[in-house]
Amino acid sequence: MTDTSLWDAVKAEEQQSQENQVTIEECYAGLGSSYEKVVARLGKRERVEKFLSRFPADESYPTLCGAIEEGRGEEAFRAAHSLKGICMNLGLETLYGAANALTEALRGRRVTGEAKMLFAQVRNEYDRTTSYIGKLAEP
Amino acid sequence: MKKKPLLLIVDDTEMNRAMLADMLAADCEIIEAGNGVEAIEILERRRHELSLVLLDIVMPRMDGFEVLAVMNKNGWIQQVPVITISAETASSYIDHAFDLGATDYISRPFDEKTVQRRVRNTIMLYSKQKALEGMVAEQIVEKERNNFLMVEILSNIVEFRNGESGLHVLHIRILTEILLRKLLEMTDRYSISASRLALIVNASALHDIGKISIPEEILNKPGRLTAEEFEIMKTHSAVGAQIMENALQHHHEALIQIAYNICRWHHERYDGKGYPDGLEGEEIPIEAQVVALVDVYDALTSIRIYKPAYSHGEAMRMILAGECGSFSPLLLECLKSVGPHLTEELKVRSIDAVSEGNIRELSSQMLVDSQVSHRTFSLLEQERTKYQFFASMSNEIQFEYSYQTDILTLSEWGAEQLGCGTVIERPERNKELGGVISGEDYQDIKRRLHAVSPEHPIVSNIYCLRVKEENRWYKAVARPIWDGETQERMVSVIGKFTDVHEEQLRLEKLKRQAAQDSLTHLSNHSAAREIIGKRLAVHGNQSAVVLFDLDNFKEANDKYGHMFGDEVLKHVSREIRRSMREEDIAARIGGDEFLLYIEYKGNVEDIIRRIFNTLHGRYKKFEISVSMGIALAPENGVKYEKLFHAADQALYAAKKDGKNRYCFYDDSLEGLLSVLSPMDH
Repeated sequence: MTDTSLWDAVKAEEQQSQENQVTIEECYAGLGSSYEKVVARLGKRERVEKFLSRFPADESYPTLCGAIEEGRGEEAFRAAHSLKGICMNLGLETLYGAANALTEALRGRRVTGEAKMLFAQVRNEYDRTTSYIGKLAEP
Repeated sequence: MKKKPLLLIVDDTEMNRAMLADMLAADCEIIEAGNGVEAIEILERRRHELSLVLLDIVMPRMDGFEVLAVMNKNGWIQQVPVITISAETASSYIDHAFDLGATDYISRPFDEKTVQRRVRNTIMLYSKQKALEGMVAEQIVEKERNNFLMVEILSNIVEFRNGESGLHVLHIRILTEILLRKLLEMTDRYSISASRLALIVNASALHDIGKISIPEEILNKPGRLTAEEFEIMKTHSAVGAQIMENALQHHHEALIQIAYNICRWHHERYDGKGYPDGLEGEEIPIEAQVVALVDVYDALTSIRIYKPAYSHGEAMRMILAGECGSFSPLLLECLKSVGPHLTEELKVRSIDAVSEGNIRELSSQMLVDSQVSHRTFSLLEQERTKYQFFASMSNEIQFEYSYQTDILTLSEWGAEQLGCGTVIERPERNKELGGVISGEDYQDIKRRLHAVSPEHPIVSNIYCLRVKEENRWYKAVARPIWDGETQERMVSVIGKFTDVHEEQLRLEKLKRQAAQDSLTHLSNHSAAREIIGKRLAVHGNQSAVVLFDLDNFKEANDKYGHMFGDEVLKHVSREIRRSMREEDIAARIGGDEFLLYIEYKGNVEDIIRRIFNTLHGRYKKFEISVSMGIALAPENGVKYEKLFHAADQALYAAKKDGKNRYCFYDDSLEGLLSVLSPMDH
């Protein structure tokens, strides 16, 4: 492969990734919510962008995973509850729906079979959400 | 720029805290806590700075409800408003938070406008409320600043309980002022402004306020206090200071701060041997040093239940010899330098200061005799016009009496008040005047005026006048004027009557309260002793001193409790009041011990038996019986102490013979033990 072809390949890859990027409107739309509604509630576009981009780093989800796996009901409930709250605030409605159902299932502070099932839904929705957020263009 | 309010955000999710902080950062300073335990730690240290807490409910370690519970327990919830945040919209959650004292709640998802509005409203509401509270406190301070009547009443209560003359507080004020002025004249070591001086003088009246906590038996004990009693007595300075400190919590007033210093440290001594703190030298605030010294001086020169009054000279000697503890050498110099005038100053200034100046000015004008020049005469006329003018506005009944003409002249306002003419010839035999003032009182004034000397010319007393069909109390102040040259012959008398009816009633009430036992409303021992002593001295009738106590009273207390015991005592007091005649005297002299004083004619045993029988009965579950000892005057003695002691021994005999009986004193009982005071006498 010549130097030129290497260069072309790099450029092609870059282009591919740029085509995969989404705007924040597209992101919200893809996750089943309305960006404009969230902005209206939280007051500022920058605020929505800032906190949405920080969502993948929030501790609630990893805590929830660990607690479900090891059967710690109390911790699982609180983590699900926190996740639900954050989703509400950020307007992540589909993930909120899943987290809310899980929170109710965990209200007895026991990791039941039903809770594990609902957790699987949360996991799917969380992965989808974070991958969308990962595709957000750098502001 | 106005300081931003400080806000505490408590939420376990970092992202939620950050989002709220982001929404509120423009209006508030923000601190954060990640759970309830951290929140409590912050509240403990900084709650006074906080304007608001935003509190999440579901948190690890300690949840929001528990934080609210702790805030309630410590009373913080009244100081800092709380808004709860929760994703839980179930009304039971919200209700529970409100029940625990939360002011408002914010539900998720956060809405910027809602969050900002709720926070702003809550902070405003609370700061308005705080400002209102501040205003009310301010008004109270203002009221009290003007209300020295309160200071006066408080010090009166202390004095009456103290059995002091009622002049002590006034003397302390006067002496404090004299000594402070002298001190400022002699040194500039202490910077005391005129207004601070006035405050110190006012505060000095409160120096013994702590004595309201000292039991009357100790306050009014005639003999020496035991070491234990003295320790109790000594607590009055710290108690007084505590009273002032409590007042300071509500409003920081210079007067109260000064009163605190005086109350706490007016028994400290310059060498550090005083109490309660053993302060030394200039560690003792100067106001407390001054009051300490004048307190000692007045105590020495006044009569007390445990001592006679010493002369000024003797008092000075004792103070300078260090017999009353050590004082600042400079203050002692001041005292020495004002010393020669103190006796007179106290006397003169104890009478209403304003009218006194008036009188002095007047009297100098009155000194003129018949050979006045025309000029003097016209000056005198001018003075009289002035005098009449002021008299017409002063609401005092002013008068002037001339010995030579036997004519009494009243000020116009005074004559109108009394319903007499302004000129009364031969006042002693005047009918109109006789209807106003009783012959007895008239003679009393006359006698007092005859007894005075040019050095101490002023007489003062309280009389009851009948004015417009109504009896009212008046204070009379008067003085004779002597012949100009020789000062041997009284030529006239000038003076005034001031209506003191309301004050007098107030004082009478205080006196009565002070003389009464609060539980039974009978007299207390010291009041009864005073009255009985006087009766014995004057009347010379046959009389009986009766002492009795309730048999098995301890049992009533032990079995049914002290509340019941008190009820029994009240019941017995009612029975006593019912069975006694108006002129009899009844007093409660100790726990369940009572004293009666009865003047009688005929067979005393009949009377005693009647009283003894009425006292028997049943109060609810308790069977009342009494043991009684009786001493008779003049058979067993004519002095109170002797009779009391004899009745005490008779009571002991009655108890020894098996209780529930009465026993008359006879000489065979002498030497028996005493019931009431087994250690003393």
